[in-house]
Amino acid sequence: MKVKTALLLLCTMALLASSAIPAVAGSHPAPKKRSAPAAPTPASQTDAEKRALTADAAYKSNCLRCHGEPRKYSERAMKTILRHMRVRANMTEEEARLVLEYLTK
Amino acid sequence: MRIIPKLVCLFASLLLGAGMAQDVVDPQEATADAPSAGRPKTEAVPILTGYATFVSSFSPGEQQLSPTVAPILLIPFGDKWLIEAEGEFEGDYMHTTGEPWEREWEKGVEYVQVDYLANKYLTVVGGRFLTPFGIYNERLHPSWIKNLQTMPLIMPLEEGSGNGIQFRGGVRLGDDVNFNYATYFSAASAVRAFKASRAAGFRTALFFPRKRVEVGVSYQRTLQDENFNTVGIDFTWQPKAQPFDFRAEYANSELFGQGYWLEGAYRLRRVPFARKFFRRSQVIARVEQYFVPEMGMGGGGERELPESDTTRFTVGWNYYFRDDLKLAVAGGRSFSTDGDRNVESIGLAYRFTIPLAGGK
Repeated sequence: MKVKTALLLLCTMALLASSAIPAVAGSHPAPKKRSAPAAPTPASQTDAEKRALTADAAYKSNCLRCHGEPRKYSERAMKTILRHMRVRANMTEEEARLVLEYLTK
Repeated sequence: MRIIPKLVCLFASLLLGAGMAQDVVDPQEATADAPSAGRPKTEAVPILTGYATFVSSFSPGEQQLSPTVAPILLIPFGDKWLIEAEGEFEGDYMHTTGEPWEREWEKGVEYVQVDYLANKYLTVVGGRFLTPFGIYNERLHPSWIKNLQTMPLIMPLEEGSGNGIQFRGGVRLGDDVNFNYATYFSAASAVRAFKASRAAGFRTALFFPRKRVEVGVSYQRTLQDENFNTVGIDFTWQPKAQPFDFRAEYANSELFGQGYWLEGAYRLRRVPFARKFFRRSQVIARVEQYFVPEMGMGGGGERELPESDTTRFTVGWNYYFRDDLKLAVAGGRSFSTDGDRNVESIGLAYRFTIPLAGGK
């Protein structure tokens, strides 16, 4: 009976995950097209500031849970560390990208 | 019983399929370390990291010295692969009043695994890995991360390492909620450095980044000798308003008993005097209980669980000379039917990180 319970739990997880992911994927905004660099405008500054704030929040909500004040290393080293942490802490791909941006800016 | 590994594979296939479907929706999907717009691509480099600790603990009539060195090697390949390995060399020098010193060195492989970042939602891990049951074993066990150097009483219920395959990842479900999961199958091994039980299980959690709260549940079915279940719940919370860190875990094994630990740590950044000293200081308190099972194997033995119901209170103070070097002092008292006793400890923990290529 206990094995059946285990199987049931695994199946439930699989179903939940497979049903949740397409819904989440569909909810993401379409990626913006990249364009040639232009002079900063108030709107783009606001976007940059928003992204910086998001990166700051991602860093604080993820890294500071276990690490006091993580030291910064070179971008190449931080890429390896973030890949390791993405796996270890089950960070989402977006969170890992934001934290890398924050720690290498 | 053999259907469990198959179901683990099915679970991974579903996620892989979902990820591939997402590739169609979002052709610009990239790994986290892919170059940002306008920035030249740089390659990740191998890193040697890890930690070294020296902890001395005292209880009436007994003194123990425990030097530990745990090197961790991280070797990235391309944008999606990572090989990571941690070895642990732990000395145990024990002295009992009236007896000569006993010494023993243990060496083992905590993990040596290959990670493949298949897509946004799935990472496939193969090799020897830390069992993703609860939070302590996989995330908090390194000395520079854990707040108290003594491990929780129920830690042996979490089954240290496994040899096999894992499917894991994180998915953003909304503005303030992430779903993360890790599911695994481990084969049995009697090789000393790679010892593991045959088992299958998972940990899944919801993480609320804005509230900085994570709630996780874990399940493991051990499929060796005696088949039995272990379930667990974990909770972490870091309120934004205070430099406070709360962690808690509960685990219940049909064979080895049950218990919990609750731990709060407060960084004294806001003390208005002697700021330099207090800014680097952290106070910690932990309360924990372990209950032997009414039927089953109970504590003691290889798992190093208490042999009777035990309650323990521990308080500690950490002083961070730097983020990677801390002094840890703790004292506590445990109460059990075998007798109450005090345990004090003092130790140093150092974390090192050395990029092996690429310079600055």
